[in-house]
Amino acid sequence: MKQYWVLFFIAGVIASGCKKEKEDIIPAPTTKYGEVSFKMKYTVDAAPLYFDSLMYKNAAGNKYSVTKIHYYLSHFMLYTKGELKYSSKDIFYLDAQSSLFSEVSLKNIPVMEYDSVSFTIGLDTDQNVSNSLPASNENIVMIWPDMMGGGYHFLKLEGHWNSANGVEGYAMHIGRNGYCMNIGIKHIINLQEYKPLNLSMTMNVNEWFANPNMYDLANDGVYSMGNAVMMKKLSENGTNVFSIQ
Amino acid sequence: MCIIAIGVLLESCEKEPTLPTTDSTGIAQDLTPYNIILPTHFPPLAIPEDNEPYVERIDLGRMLYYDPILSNDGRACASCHFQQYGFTIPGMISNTPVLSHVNMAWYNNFMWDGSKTGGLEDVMLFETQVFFGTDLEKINNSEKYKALFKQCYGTEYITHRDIAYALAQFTRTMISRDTKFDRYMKGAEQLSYSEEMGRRLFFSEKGDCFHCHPILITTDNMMHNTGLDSVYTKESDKGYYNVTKDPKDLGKFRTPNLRNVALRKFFMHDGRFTTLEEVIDFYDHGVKRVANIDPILTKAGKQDGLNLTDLEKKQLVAFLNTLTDEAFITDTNFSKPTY
Repeated sequence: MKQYWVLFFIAGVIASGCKKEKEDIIPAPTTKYGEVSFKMKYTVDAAPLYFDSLMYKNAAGNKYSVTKIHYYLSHFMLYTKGELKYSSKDIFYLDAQSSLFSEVSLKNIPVMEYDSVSFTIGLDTDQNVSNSLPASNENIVMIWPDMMGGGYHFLKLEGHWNSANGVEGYAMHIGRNGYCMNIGIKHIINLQEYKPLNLSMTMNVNEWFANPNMYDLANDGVYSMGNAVMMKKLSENGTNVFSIQ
Repeated sequence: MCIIAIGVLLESCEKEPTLPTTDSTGIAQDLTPYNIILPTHFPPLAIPEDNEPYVERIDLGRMLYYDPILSNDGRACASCHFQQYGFTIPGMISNTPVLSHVNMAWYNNFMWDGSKTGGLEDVMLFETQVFFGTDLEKINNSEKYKALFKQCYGTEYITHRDIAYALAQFTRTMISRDTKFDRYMKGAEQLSYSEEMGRRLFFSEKGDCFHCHPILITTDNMMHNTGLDSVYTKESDKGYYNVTKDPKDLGKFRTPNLRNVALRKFFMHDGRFTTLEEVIDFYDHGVKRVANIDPILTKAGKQDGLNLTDLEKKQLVAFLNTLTDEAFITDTNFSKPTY
C-alpha cells in the first residue's frame, strides 16, 4: 500500500509539471553543425614519401630516409575574417605509417564559411602534463620522461642519412613546454550541414630541415631530444611544414 | 496523459526486470562475469566481443595451459613457461630463449620475429593448431573437456578455435602489476640510491632505454634492429626479414617485455647473453652500426656506445631488478590448477 502513496505523490508532481510544460516552450536550436576531416599526407618537396628509402635530399644536401613520423596535432581553431569562430581542445595522435592514425576529424562545427585554420603541432602547456592523455599504447610510447621535463613527445621524426662515416641514424624528437609549434593556414573551409567536408593536409618533410632555419645533419646534430638549440631550430621550421588541399 | 503515466508506473512496479540471458555466443547465462582490473596508467584492454571474460572460461583456459592434452608429445604451455621464472624457462628451445608470458593482453604481435600478429585469440590459435597440433579427436574424447567446453562456449565439438579462445581467456589475466617499480610509481615505496640512479639512466638520453621499453608496459610492441649483427650467418638472425622479406627488416626483433627480466637466464633472440651485465655491455660498446640500425642508437657523441661507467652499469642493473614481480610469480591464480 505504501508503494501506491509514493506513486500518487509522483503523479501529483507529474501533473503539476504538465501544466508548467505548456507555458515554457523551449524553441528548437537554430545553429547548424557540420564536420571537416583532414586526411594526412606526406611528401618530400614534390615527391611522395616512401619510408626507409635513402633517396631524399634536404636543403643542406644531406641524403636521407625516413623511418618514423609520430606526432600530435591539437587545438584546432577556425576563423572568419580574422575572428575566431570555433575552437577545439581535441588532441590527435598521428602515425605516418598507420591508417589507424592518419586523419584529423573535427565535428560539431557551426556551419559557415571559414577562411583560415590554426592548430598546434604538439600539446599546449595545459595539456602537456604527464599521464594526462588516455593510457593507450601509442600515448605511452610518446611519453617524455618526467626527469627530462615530463609530458609527451610532440614529434618523433627518425630515419637514416649518408654521413661522412657512412649510413647513420637521426632522431628529431621535440617535446617540452615552449617547443610546441603553432601553425596558421589560410584556406576556405565551407561547412554545410549533413555534408562532411574532406580535405587533405600535407606534411613536407624537407621543410623540417629548411625554413626558416637550414638544418644540416652534419653540423646541427642528429639527436635533438633534450637539446634546446636543436629543438628550437626544428620547432621554428615546424611552423612551415603543413599545407592544406 | 498523466493518468496513463501513473498506470504505466503501477504496471512496471509489479514486474521483475528482464535480464539478458545470453551473450553473442549464446552461452553466458550460467557463467560468472570476470572483471579484469587494469593496473594504473595501463592502456585499456581490447577484448573481442565473442570472448568476454568469465570465471569459468578462465579456469578452463588455465586447465588447458597446464595440460599435455594440448600436444602429442607430452608438452603443455607450462612445459616451457615456468611461473617462477616469470613464465619463461631457465634454458632455451631450439637455441632460442622463450619469451615470457606476461602482460600479453597488450600485445599486437608475438614471437621474436613478430611473425604472429593480432590479439591473444590469434596467437593461441597458432599455438593449438600449428605449434602443438592439438589432436581434436583426443580432446573431444575427454568427457571432462566436452562438458567444460559445452558449459563455457556451448560447443558440442571442440575445435582449435575453442581451445584458442579458452587459452586467450587465461593468458589475458596474466597481468604483472606489483613490481617494486610499480609501487614506487604509486608512491608506495622508495627506490634505493642505486636503483634511483639506474632509473634515471633508463629514462634519460644517457641510457635511452625508454624509447623502446616505455614506462610500465616496458615494450613498445615494435620491431627494431639494435645492432646485434652486421652479418646474418643464421637464418634466425634475420628476424623480421623472415616475415616480410624486406631488406630493411633484416635483424629486427620484437622489443621484449622487461617485467621479471632479472629472472631470465638468456637474452636476445638467440640467448647470446646470459646476464644483464652482458646486455648492458652490448649496448654500451657492442652495437654494430648497420645501415638499418634503429636511429635511436646512433646519437652523436655515442659513436662508441653509451659510455657508461662501471658504477652506472651496476645502477642500471639495480633498476632492472626492480621490475621483478614476486606477486606475479607466486600468484596461485596463475599456477597449475588442483582441480
